[in-house]
Amino acid sequence: MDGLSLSLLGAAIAVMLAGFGSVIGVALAGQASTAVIGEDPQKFGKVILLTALPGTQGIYGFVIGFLVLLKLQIIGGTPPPITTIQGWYILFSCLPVALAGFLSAVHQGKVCAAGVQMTAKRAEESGKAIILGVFVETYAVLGFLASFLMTSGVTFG
Amino acid sequence: MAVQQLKRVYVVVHAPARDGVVAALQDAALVHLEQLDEGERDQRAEPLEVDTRDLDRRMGDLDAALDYLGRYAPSESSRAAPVSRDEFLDLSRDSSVDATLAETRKIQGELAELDVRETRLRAAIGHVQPWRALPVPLEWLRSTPTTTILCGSLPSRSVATLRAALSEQGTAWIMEEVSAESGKTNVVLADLVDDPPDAERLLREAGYQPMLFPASRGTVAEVIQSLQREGESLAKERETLKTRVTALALERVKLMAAYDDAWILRQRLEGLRAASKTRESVIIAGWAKANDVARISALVEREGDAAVLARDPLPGEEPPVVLRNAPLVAPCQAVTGLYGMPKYQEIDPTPLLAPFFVACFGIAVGEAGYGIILAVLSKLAKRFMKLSEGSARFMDLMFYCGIATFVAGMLMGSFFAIDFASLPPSLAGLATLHDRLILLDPLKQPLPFLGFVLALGFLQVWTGVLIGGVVQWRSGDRLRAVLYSGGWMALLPLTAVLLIRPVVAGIPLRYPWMAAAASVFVGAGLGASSVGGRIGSGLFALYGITGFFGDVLSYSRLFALGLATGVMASVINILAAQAKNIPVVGWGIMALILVVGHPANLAINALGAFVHSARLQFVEFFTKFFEGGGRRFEPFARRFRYIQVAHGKDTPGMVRQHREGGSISERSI
Repeated sequence: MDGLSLSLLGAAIAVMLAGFGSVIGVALAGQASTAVIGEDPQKFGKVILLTALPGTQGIYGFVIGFLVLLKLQIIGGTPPPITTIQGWYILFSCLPVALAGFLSAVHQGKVCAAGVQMTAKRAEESGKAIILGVFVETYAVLGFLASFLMTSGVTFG
Repeated sequence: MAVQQLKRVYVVVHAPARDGVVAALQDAALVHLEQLDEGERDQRAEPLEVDTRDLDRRMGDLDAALDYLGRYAPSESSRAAPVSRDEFLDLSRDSSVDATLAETRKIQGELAELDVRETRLRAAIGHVQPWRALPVPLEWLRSTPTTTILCGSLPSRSVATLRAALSEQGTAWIMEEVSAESGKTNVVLADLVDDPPDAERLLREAGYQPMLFPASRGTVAEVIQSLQREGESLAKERETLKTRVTALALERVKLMAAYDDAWILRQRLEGLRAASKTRESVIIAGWAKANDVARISALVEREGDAAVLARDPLPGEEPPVVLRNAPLVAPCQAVTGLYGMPKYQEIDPTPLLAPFFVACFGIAVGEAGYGIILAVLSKLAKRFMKLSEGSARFMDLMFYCGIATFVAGMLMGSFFAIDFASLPPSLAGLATLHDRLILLDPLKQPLPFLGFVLALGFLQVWTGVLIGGVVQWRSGDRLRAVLYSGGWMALLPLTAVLLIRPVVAGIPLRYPWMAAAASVFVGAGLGASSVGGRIGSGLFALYGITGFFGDVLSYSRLFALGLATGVMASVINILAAQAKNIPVVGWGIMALILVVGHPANLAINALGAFVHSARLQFVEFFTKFFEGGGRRFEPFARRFRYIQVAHGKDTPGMVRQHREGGSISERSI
């Protein structure tokens, strides 16, 4: 495979896997939220944050994918010649955010779903549930950071 | 700026003045009620028994009615528009409350009955529907002295068999098929009464099931018609009831007020649970802010035979906690509150975390344009929305965070992610300004920027250690404070420098580093009884350096979050710029993308920035000096569920009026 294709594969994996994780995570939290809102519609404002929380991983994946596209000059330019080795380099750089994002989103979804259930009982403590969810997100942030540093290290031409 | 000083207060009231005093205390909202404990209670004083069953019943009735009317209410909101306290009283004491309640219940009952009748009707129509084709009136189908007439259904496949069997019997049976559907055939059978009874066995074997017609006259089609007419009249009745209940739903606010009125009374009774009584007096115990005691005394004495005694908390006691901070710092109490209250004797971490939290938030959003939006929106919300005290404070916090975001965004060179280099030459001045302000562009200089956020993290963690040392010093453990906390305070920067440059100004840093490490080692071992224990806890403490390492690295999230905001913002701009090229509608779509995209990006990233910054305070900072676990000071007050009483609309006579109206009857206590 040529370098450009490998790089695009990397960008696609970053966006897709992190996105899949967020899909699953938000869905888990969303289902729990639906149940709570069914009981007490007033809690919508409280549970919406918890539901949205596992959505950030998808954004991290997207940002990395976007930065790769910028670097490849697919957006606004013509791609420079990219060797196969460089292509692999970009592909590997995308893996941290893809995998850490995927797993952390799924598990953050679980923590948030539990947080939503807690909110059903003690709405005033929903802030604490959000903070607990953030603990899981840390590793997606680190994956994002690693991917960013890795991609920003490669230069073409 | 601290945990506010509280006093233990005892309000001693001559029994007859009790209700007035309790109501006055509830209105004033100054005392956090708390039972006399065993040490305080005289043997002659016993807990006051309170019976809230009547009120609970009334609240239950009102709640059920409100819940029911809510389905017919025009607006979704279950809270009423704000009213003044006078309006609240007028509403809650409105003479029509009970009538509305009764009417609601009546209509609810009637509608439920209507449901039952409609269900029955539908079932009845469904029952006779298959017989629609029967041409004769039902009254003709009754048996006569000489003839038996049977109506019923049997499986279609057995019709022929039955017919054959019946004719084999040689009886005078007549069988007419009326209709057939879904494998069943409906038949009318006629026979002479004198025929042998064996026919019934044949019917059973064929799977015959008799049909019971309603005791009506006329053909089945006529019967169905009349049932349908009845259905129409029921529907009309339902419409009438619905109109009535919708009209009632407009009166909901009265029921809401009545509910809240009952609830406030119930809270008052609940409050009395914290009281004790002797033969002639009632003692209400609790906690109050030290500077409120005089006010409480004045208030209570005005009510009659009552007095307030106050004392400082005793060493073993755990008073509830109320934070008081300078107006500049107070908004950050929202962050502290999220974690929990400090203990009464502990320091309030709010002023300590305030600058760090706001800075972290600013970097994590890192978008000057978004900072302006955030600051403006929070000011507008505070100005134009009716906010509770907590929400207003939160808006203040958001204002600070907006300012910090603006500053951080300017330094990071991001203003709505506008590409200043590509601006038209007429705006070159802006580009120059932008270039002059920018300190670190995270996209172009990622490593220096990462270094910057880690340095911020280092500063905060180090400050945490410093505060921990001060706390320890104040608690009297001075040797440990100096050796342990002082050791860490030297060790941390030395380690950081050592990692970059082993030798500074000709001095190899490893010697002072070892001295600091020894100080931590000895300091940590101070508490242990045996030599082995000392060495163990010393080594364990030194191992804690990995923890500090992790703490500082944890701040790298700020870099990632700030970067993500900026990149997403530029994605929105790029999309918008491309949409502009669409013929005809291009400009509209571009505007739409910008107007929806940027606020959405701001919302997501502000949430992320808030929670991640909070986490940095709780996990990386608090662990160095803060324990928490105090109880929140919750003064005995009127709380409303449905009605929002707007502040500043009070009329002086109102409080008294309310108290008289809502006095606690002896029956309920």
